Amino acid sequence: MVNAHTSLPSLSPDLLPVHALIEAEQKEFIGAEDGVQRAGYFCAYTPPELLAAAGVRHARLFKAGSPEIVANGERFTQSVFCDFSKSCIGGFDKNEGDPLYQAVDKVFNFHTCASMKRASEVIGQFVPTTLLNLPRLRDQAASREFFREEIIHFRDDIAELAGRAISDDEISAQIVLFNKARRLIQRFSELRKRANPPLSGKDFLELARGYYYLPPEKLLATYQPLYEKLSAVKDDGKRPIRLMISGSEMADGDRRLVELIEDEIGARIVVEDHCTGLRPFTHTLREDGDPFAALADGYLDQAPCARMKPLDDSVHFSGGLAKEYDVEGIVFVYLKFCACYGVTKLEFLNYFQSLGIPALEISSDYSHSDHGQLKTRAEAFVEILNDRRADAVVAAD
Amino acid sequence: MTEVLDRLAKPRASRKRTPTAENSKGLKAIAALAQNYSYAQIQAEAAAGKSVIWGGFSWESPLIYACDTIPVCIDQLWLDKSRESEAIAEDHFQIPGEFCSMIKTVIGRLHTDQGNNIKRILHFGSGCEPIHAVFELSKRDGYDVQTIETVSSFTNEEKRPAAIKILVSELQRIAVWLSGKPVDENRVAEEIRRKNSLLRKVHKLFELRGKHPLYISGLQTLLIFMGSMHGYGDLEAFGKAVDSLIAELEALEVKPLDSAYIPLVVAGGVGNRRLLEAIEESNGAIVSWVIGGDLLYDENLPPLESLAHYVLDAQGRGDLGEMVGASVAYRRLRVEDEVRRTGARGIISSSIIGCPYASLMQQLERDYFKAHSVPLLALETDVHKEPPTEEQIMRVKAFIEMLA
Repeated sequence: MVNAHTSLPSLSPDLLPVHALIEAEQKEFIGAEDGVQRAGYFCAYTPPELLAAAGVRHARLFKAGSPEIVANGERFTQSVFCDFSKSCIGGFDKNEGDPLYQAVDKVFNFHTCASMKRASEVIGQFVPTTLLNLPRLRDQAASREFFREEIIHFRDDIAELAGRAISDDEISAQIVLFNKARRLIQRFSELRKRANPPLSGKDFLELARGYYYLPPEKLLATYQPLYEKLSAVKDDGKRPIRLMISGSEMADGDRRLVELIEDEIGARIVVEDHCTGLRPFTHTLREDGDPFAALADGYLDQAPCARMKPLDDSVHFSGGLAKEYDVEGIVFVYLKFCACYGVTKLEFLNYFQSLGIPALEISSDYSHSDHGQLKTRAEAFVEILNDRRADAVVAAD
Repeated sequence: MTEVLDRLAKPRASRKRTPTAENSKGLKAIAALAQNYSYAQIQAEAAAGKSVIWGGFSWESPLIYACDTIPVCIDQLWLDKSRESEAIAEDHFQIPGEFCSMIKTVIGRLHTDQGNNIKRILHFGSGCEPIHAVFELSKRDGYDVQTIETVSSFTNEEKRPAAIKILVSELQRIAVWLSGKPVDENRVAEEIRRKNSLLRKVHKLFELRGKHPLYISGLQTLLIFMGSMHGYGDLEAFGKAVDSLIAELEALEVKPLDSAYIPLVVAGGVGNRRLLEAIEESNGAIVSWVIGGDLLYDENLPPLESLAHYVLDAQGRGDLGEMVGASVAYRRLRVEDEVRRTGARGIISSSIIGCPYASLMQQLERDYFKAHSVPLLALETDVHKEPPTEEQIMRVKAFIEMLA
């Protein structure tokens, strides 16, 4: 297992060029003297289409996993925030933060959970920050109209940052482009429906990670040939234990659980129901008509996180994804102090149980001190799934 | 609750209060109203066919009253049986131990009392995340939960027309949910005037209390704050009790605070109410309290817009806390104003253990006042009724001793 912060991650060789491209893009973001403004955002409900249309460099700020960065954030939050929120703050620390975060000229935060709303108030001390509203009541026409208005305000704010107006045509063109990227990433994921997928869970997370750092043109140019190559790989008939990870955000830099499951135990993550995995790529946007309505509807209609209402939508989506990818077990992971997934975990676990899919519940943080415990629990879980598989074979005979 | 009110009715002999305070008609009337707002009484009202809901007691209460509905503060859910409720939350709902006692007692009590008559819950989408989550869980127990869409604006610039528009639309929807018919805006306007009238009285009362900080205890002050939001279901009666108390304070001779007492500003609600007693027993005099809810509604606006402006303004001032998802950055300005205005020598800031939002606000206030050389004691409590821990009491006493 390799620390993603210090060295190459344990990706398949095919994915290493993608990794290198992302790293190069981040270096450009940090160091290129191009006179272009840098914008950062936290949440997958933020439409990067507008940032791209404005011509600003942009990145999703979801690098986390380092206890040191958490400690920076904890100077403000005390211990009762989730480690991700603390990392978002800690990344902006002037002395010990993350260079990517420090390169940002402006942060846009469509606030999802209350912790991230508060985090942005602290971050506003370090860098100009705009807080934008994200409705919860996805089915209400009034909420959609409100979100559309917020997105128009977002456009105006970006235009001010970029120093130029953004036309509707430019936005529509970016919607088309980002849709292509989303569709392609979803097609990569569908390769994982095979008995022996040609890409690992870690590989897919890297592809998803690229979406938040790479301009879509660059992404498409790199990902398309890779897709052709991977889709041509013959299925060798092996069938590793198939798992889904569901729950809280899995940050860029927090790969330890996936690496543990895939590299040390030998099971395979074939799908993720979290906002840094497959979830944001299961839906595309309308490409005609009013681009702001398309963005508002498109982002509200994407697979919901547990912050959205009703909760049943999130729970049923998660279960549906597990069935679609024919998983044998689900690892439900929530970050300590994450209200969205910590308080509601039983709803998810009960639903998985009703579908007959065993689930392992893990409460996680970025402390790195629980590797042994996690390994023991994950190994036991996979062992049970192996036994179930063997029992099923015997029963079929 | 009963226990608390019993103690309110019998002030401790050790407190240096005037005989008038011990026989205060105003304080007794307020205590009686609070008593009648008890869990059992409210359930009885609901059983008798009155429209009663959990929530709706804060900024939105004029709308709720205009829909002939009694809003009930969710603190009723933890005033009794809080330990049992918390255990149910952790065992039955598997809520992790790190979450605050408030949300655990809420879901636990809603679960055990699912057969009771209050089955509707109203809350604001900008409120804290865990309360959202537990209200979602309560749907399994048959509760009808309505959420007012999430809207946050911490500055005037952020208070955009779309934010007001969605809130107005949401309040119209809630009126239909409550009463089955479109909102009667004239009634809402009337309720706003009634609440403003009450708030003006409460303002006056607290101005007077600043001159006589020992007359009304911390616990009694907390009851007045709560009443200023919902009037304990009877705004008129509460207003009369406040009038009576104002008259009592106006009749008192203004004297400088005895030098044995240390003037303090309290920031935030105090979950464990006995901590208030610890402050007073240590000769702390609460000369001001920043807990929010003292804004006036704008009567010149259309009534639903007035409610919308009120809640967004409250957010920006750090008022009303997590009920409205208030800013964590701005309350300190009001605390600072109160320290200046009253000449307080220290600040006691309180939050509930496990509340990330309050803890962040405390941390920002701690840093700010440290930089400005104003002593601040940050307390963390829970909602249970057990006496505060010896450590908490010692911290309060040591803080006040240090200031002395």
